[in-house]
Amino acid sequence: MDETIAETKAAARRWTWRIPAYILLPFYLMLIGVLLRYAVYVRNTGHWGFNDYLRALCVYDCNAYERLALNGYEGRPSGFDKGDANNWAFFPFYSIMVWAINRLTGLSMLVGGSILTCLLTVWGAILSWPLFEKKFRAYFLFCFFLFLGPFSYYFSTLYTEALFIMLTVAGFVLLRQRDYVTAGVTGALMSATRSTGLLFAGAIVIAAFQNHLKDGGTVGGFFKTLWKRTDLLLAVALVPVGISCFAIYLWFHSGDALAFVHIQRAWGRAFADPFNNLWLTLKMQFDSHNYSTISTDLAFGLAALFGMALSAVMAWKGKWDWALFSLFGVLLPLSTNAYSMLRFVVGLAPVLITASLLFSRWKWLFYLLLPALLILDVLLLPTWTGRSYYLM
Amino acid sequence: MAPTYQPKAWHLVVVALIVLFDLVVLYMVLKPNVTNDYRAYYIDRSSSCFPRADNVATGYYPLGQPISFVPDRSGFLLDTVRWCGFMPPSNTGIRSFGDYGILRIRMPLPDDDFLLTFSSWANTDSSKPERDVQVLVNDERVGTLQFTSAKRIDGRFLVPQIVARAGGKDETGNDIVTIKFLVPRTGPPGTNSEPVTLQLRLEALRLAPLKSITTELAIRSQPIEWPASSEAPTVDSSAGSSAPPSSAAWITPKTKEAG
Repeated sequence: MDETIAETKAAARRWTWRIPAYILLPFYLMLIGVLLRYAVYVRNTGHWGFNDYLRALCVYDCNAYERLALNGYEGRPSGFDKGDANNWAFFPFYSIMVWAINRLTGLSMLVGGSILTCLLTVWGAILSWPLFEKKFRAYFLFCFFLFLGPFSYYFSTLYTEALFIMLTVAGFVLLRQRDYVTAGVTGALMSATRSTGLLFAGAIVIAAFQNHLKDGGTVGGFFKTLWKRTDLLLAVALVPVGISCFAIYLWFHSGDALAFVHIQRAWGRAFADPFNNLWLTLKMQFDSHNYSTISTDLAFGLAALFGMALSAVMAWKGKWDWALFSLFGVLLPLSTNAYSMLRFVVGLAPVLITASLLFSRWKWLFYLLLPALLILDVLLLPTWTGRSYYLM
Repeated sequence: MAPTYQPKAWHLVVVALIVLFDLVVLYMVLKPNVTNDYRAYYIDRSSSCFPRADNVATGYYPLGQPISFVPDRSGFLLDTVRWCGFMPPSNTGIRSFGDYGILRIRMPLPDDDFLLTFSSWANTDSSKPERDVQVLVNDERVGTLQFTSAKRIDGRFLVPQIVARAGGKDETGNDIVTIKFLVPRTGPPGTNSEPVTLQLRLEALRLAPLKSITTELAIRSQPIEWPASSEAPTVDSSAGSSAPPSSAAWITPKTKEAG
């Protein structure tokens, strides 16, 4: 049963009273975050141009998404020193949205895309509220991390994290509401945004199983009634539609439907045992007797471990749909390389939500984390604009 | 009470349409319509580099002229012969990656044998085992470079006319000459599944008809000793020189007969 129906009138009034708080909070934090980082940028560089600030934030893949929105997909690979890269690795849905904003408003790809990213993050945060089960402190920490945390850059420039998190959150809220078909449509959009969006198909099946048990069903009953679950069948079938549309486009464009996979060779990515990759990444700096710093490889390895550990926490809490989505959301990119693992882990909404729920359980930790996140956000701005591999 | 579910016909209709759509995608996945170069590099992973486009790596080369791969040095600053497996020119020359680097020249060849000369070094040192680099012209081995230290090796190889012409002709009638540097693997693959290989750095290169070299040397009055027999191309390589390629100045401390 939908838990909102069971609420008392008094609870409904409280709920109504709370609407401004959980909706306005992300807006306020987003504005504060943008202004704070802009102020830090002005302080560090002496430049007042807001466009310059947005340009400085736009590093690495941001440029790729901007060019994709501007010029579409490139022809024969010729990028990087090896001459084997181009933008086929970048999924289209986000850049299509940036292009549409540009067409509708006339704003440049950079400005329009940055605004879009910020608003998508706000939207994602608002949509996530039901997943926090009214734990406002955890919700606050989640929003604070998005807009004022050390990875706020992903959520304020042209990266797909904001869109992917928004879609993931929407998908899991829909699964909670037992609206599997709409969740499947959301999954299709996720798979058009990132390859890991495909994993949502598994999350749908697991969520349906869990919901069946919650609704009083049995394990055997779930499998016995599976043939009647046409909604589930449709939902699962819908998820790969996004990536399939991209594959069809690439077949006509390059002759290779899996070009988005094959072009990853330019980034040194090839499928292998993710756990072996993790081990190699973790021990790399110690093999060269570096015990004094944290190399990018070690940072990526630790991020992967963090993502897997929180997946275990989700499973422990009984959220198996979140857990398996997050675990494979870590393992899939890790099976190709540990590179960019920080970003991939931060882009997993269940990881962020679970971390927020976990770390806000203790007030002292919550209040300790807020300034810590804020300080890191400020300190890491020059690191980000300086194109550090750490944050990539 | 156990939940009950009601199947819906429209769900099945949409699923059937998606299945048809997926079959089309499956066909496209199984039947890539790509060039051999693309298939070998990206799909089969049987080659270690993806060739540059023909309109970029045109193969243009004024025969007999030295090419410099290091900015601000004398020689033609041509990037038209760097075809596959070499990174763009830099202060260390063009650096190979993968199992080999290939330069490709396209021009009409005169009726003559040729002398291939170049200046190279590699990312190795005297503490490491000897690293041999095979030099092939049109897939025919013309010699071997032996790297035993980080010092520069200036290579000088005789390329018989029959080998130089073995690369065929392009659509405009130019002879195609590929010069391939086959480097050894020096370590197991890392997390990117690419093997670690010796990195050859080419600083300059010249391919000249033998007659023009002989004339050039005669003018300079510096005779060159050619291989005693004409059985097989002779490989000469030298170490320690820091001068740009000038065939007359090269010495030959290490030699391996070409096969």
